[in-house]
Amino acid sequence: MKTNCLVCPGRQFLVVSMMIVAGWGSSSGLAQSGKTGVPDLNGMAALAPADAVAFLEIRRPGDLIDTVISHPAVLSALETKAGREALQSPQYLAFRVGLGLMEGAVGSDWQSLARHLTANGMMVSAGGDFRSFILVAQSDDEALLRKTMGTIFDFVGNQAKQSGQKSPFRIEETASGKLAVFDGFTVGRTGADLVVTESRAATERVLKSLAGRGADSGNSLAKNEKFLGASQATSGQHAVWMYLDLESARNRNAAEKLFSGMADNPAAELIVGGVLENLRDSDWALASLDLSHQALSMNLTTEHDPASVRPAREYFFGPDGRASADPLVDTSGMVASVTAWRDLSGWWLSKEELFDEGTVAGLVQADSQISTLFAGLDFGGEVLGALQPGIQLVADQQEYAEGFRPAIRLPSFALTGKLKDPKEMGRKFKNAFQSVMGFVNYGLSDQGLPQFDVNTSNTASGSVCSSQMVPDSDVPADLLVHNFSPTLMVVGDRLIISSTMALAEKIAGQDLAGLAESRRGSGDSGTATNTLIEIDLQQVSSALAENRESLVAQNMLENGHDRKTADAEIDGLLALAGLLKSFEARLGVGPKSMTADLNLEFFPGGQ
Amino acid sequence: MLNRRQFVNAGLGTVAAISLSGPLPNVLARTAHTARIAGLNRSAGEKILVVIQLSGGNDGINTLVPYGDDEYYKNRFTLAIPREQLLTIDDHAGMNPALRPMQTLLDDGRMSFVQGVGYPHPNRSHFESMDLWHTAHRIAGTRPLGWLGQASDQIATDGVLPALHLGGEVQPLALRADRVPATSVVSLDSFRFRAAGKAAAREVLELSNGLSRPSANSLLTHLQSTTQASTDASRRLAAVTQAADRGVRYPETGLAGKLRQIADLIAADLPARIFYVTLDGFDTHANQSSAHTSLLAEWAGAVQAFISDLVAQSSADRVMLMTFSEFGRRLKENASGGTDHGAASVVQLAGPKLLQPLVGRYPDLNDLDQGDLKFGIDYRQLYATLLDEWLGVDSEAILGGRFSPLKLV
Amino acid sequence: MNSRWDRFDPATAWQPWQPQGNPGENQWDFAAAAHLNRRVAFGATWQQVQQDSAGTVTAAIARMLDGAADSDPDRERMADVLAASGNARSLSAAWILRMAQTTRPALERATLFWHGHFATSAAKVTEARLMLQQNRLLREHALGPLEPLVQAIARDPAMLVYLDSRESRRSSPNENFARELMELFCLGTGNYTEADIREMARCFTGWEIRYSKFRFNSFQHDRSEKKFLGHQGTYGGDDAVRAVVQHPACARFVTGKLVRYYVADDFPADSPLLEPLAESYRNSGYDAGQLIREIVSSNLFFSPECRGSRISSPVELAVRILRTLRMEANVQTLAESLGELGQLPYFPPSVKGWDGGTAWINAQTMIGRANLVERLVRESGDTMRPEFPGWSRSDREQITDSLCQLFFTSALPDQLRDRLDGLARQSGTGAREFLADTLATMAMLPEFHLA
Repeated sequence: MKTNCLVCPGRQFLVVSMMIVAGWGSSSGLAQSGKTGVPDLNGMAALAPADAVAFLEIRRPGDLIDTVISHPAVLSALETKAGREALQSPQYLAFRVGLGLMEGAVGSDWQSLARHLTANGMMVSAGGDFRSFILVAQSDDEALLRKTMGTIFDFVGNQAKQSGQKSPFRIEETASGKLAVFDGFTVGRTGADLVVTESRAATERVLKSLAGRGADSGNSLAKNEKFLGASQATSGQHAVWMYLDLESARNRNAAEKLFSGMADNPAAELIVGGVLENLRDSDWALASLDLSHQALSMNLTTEHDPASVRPAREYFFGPDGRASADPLVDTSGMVASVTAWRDLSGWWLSKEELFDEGTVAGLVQADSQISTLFAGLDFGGEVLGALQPGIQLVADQQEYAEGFRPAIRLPSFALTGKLKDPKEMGRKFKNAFQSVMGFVNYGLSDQGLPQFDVNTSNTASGSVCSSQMVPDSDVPADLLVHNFSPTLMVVGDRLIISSTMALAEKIAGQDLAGLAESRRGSGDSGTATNTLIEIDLQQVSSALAENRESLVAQNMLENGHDRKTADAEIDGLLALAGLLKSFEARLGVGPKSMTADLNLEFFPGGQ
Repeated sequence: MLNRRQFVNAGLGTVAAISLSGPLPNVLARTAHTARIAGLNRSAGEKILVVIQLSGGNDGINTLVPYGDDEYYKNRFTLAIPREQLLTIDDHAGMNPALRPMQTLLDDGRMSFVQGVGYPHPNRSHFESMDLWHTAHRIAGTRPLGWLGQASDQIATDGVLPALHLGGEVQPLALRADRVPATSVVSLDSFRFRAAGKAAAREVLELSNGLSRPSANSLLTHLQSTTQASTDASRRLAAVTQAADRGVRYPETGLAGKLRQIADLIAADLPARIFYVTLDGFDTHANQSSAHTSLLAEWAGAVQAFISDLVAQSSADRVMLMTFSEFGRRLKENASGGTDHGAASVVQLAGPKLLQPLVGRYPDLNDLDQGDLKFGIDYRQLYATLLDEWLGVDSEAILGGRFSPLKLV
Repeated sequence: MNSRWDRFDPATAWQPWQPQGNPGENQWDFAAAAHLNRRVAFGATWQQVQQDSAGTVTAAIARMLDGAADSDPDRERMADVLAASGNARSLSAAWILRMAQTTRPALERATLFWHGHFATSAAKVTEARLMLQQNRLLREHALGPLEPLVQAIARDPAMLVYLDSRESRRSSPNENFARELMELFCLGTGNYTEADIREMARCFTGWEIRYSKFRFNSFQHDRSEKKFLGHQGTYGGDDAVRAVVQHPACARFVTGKLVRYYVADDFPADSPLLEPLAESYRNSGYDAGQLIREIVSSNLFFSPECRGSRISSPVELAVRILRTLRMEANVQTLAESLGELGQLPYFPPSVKGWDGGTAWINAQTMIGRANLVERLVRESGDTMRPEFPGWSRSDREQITDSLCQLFFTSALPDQLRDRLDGLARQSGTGAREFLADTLATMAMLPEFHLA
């Protein structure tokens, strides 16, 4: 049998090594701090071509890699099945062997090697033609860089010789020093800086400009106005940041689906329709990433012009393009909560502009089916039209009635919004709710299962329609239906549709109007929060732990595992989930930009 | 009982036995065997039945509109389609404008509506009425069989595929057979040996197909001949899908996609004679107009493309397409802009040259049975016609009696 | 009628087989042990077959039929959780997993027989836990006496739902169960009359269920006198079941079905060979375990006529591969594929169960079966632990030979075998990949589908 790991083509190994040297470096704060408040600390944008579609800079690669390799979540992920498999994969093992050889030859462990080789930062840029690229890594130890490169080139050359192939590169002497020219990329060095680009000419050009330190930066990205305009939108204090020229990408028909402005289906449209609208004509995007043992934060900012939103997407942004979502509903046992400004009626009625023919036909048919429940009211116009724009979704801890403990335990969840005409439409929603429960009961009785008892009551502030399982000692306690006591409530102008009575009551008890006022006062004046999602991952983790048996069963069926293996895999996943604290995502719309902030918090040091 | 097909095969066998009496050289015997298998497994020349089931109860009154009857406009106060928009067929009935693609089929004499099809004592439950259409009986006992499943049982011989259902939904009861279970598939990938994508494996399969096996094991002989049949079908189908463009454009809808696959299978001479597909969503109790229009458009577009494809591959004369629904809908529309479960309705036929665009009489809207149309043609008459005269099987055993056939082709 | 079983003498056909020590046809060797394992236990690993053939035939049969009970509480807990989700399809997957993993495959294969015999479908009995309850009942009685099994099935909630017995009223008894009890479960047609059905149906009136449990409703029970199968009296359901099981036709009917399951698809139901076996079944108190042991220990079972005389059902085909190669696969997608091929456990097509034999095979399922194997090895080939001789050396010819011995009931035509050996010699792929390719290729051969 051929052992592929060591005889593998030298080129692959070289690329991998370069990536390590370049991307996985580690430094101990040796990076020089440049001008504060503006990114591109080392003037690296001056090395990128003016028409670069992407430019990525890692400010302190060392800090990042230190954080990653010591991160509790990473360590825990490596303990899971996928992690262990990755560590045992032939690719990883081959890579590890290669790395070991290099460590031996250079006489330094890889972390220290990487730390020094990227001590002064690194950048990658992609040219406007999508084929050219530039990678620059700046080290603090020229001798070490020379030695490492020599070791790698020797190794690759020897590998080729041993397998009877010709060397995959040739060394060329140029004015900028020796270049290693491979098929598809060229490696060069000046002083302590490493340069890799797609061609000999480009490598030479970058080397020259590095040697001259900006003397001949000419027409570089650093002078591109779009880039300069975009970089105003970031503080420059991020571990990793990236600039994307969306306009060029679009013009070159890259990722057409992403820039098409169309979502595939109605649900995706409702969630990201506005983002797709923005990507249709936004000129640039900036992304950044920061990681600590406490949190992983990502930000994506794109150019945005509220006035250019098409009428079909007004349902997403509001008539003035900058509508604000209602505050988050924050119940005591909150698992997840979402609030978004959406005009559901507008979304449904714009279907011809938003979806393809087949989807529209499906929605038209669904309209007819749903209308049956609403005594003929038109679903898009009249039922959804009865709601004020803005929806909130909540998932909350489940509370079970005494003696009932279903085998599968689901959180309770609710949808809430405001009615334009609570009196009239409240009644119609109530009637529709009763019809639905009638169908549900019919279905349950058909399966020989107990049925829901539907109660309605009217109070001064509104009305309640709740349903409860008929108590009966014969009813098995572990049925799935015990997760539900579907409830519809109208309180003032608020409509609450909930899977459980308890959650509906919790929401009804909140002073959402007061909350709205307090948030409005404290909010950022420039940016409107269009969508906000909060997930309490501790609650999610305990909900998963509650359902451990189901997860194990599912794991066995999906992988054909025996019990022991499945147990171990699920325990690994639960341990990983236990390290996660919370997740927040916010979509903000400002007068000139749109931002998405994602923030994942960890329990530092694990729990 | 010996049916026509078995008779033909028996006849051929006899001829072969006489002309090649005496021990056959091995090679000759194998060639004869292969030829027989190949002949058996091709459906070329055999008539084919394709059924489209419109689930939920299609509103036949707004499909084929009795515009000549004033009662229509009196009872369909919001749903009525103005006469000038209809695609009139005669001075009484006209097609819903959503069926415009079908006009060419009508003009070519390749389509007709059978009017007023139903059965005595109409049942307005989706399930029970559908059971009747599927089994041709009121279900009693525990082992109901489908009318097409039983036809399959009669047709079945070595290598021939039983009825084939295309779609992800539960297999319709109509296909339930006593001996040869119908197959449900979601894509034509089910007709391709995936392992044979590798040359070495394909060569082994071909070598195996050419080698005779000991005849003592009848199970092995059966497996061997069926493998040969599936290899042939697989090969023909690959050739057909490579030449996918027969110059016909199908709409981008679910039903059109299924019919397109059936057209591919027919073009590949797949040894199957009964195909079945469904289109759901016809239970239009509220806001019927837009939903019904879009469903009819999907149906009409798909059928038009399918028949044109068959015409292009010169198969239209041997493929009968029948579209039915479990019942029609009430004449009088309800207060939600919809219609409720009804009784007799239209059945549509398409494919070969048909005698007339309208078969039977449109039920009299002044003579209703609890608000619903009365039937003039028993659905079992239609079944009997298709079974006896189209598929060439004995309808009496399946329908539990003789039903007078209709004059269609 | 002439049949290849005619050469057997009813007096000796079922006598315990005495293998000869010297090489020849009549030998307890690897092929015979593989045959026994395929028929009784969904096949076995190379090691297991080797070990069986090194011992005695009696010991091998005892290992399969008398092995320690596989009473894994975790497995039962898992089934309960899946049933609680209400999805019977996941129960099908879990059962397939059990067949693949259990230490008592013979029990599972017998349980699968009874599932097809007392066929009840989750398509109608929508409550998954009732189906699970019935599955446990079948397993409990699978290798035991018949009457307790039929008595339990008669009051099994899933069966009551499936055959509409729960809607049986004193004023209008539902005849479905009484009919199938005689026609499909115990006697076969020709051994009872329509009048017997009508009368017997009255015995089962008042047998109802409430929240998954059997309940006798005395108000709905018809207490008047009934006359059936030559009996007369104010019988109840228990009496009716007893009368049917003790009917002279019963032993022969059930024996015939078990012989078709363990011996040959085309074993004639009217063969005189069945009578001595039925007689011994009666004498054992209708004990299925003893009957199966007698069948699979017999001269007839190890005869050349019996080898390769069954077409594997889709479930048998898939589970045999999983067990033989010790493979772990996604059993949920596997169950879906088995459904497409006509055999999804818990979803038999009708109360008649699966017809089996040539009914499994048509031009489309032939491709589907080969593709099922192809997908199994492509998606889960990494998990195979075949432990064939020469496996560690990646000896490809040895791999081909082991596969042939384990999966083919008799020698392939020479040319075909030569071609396979040629592929083994030429192949440059790793052992695992070679095994996967070879198995996927073999699955396209007609012989692969015989057991």
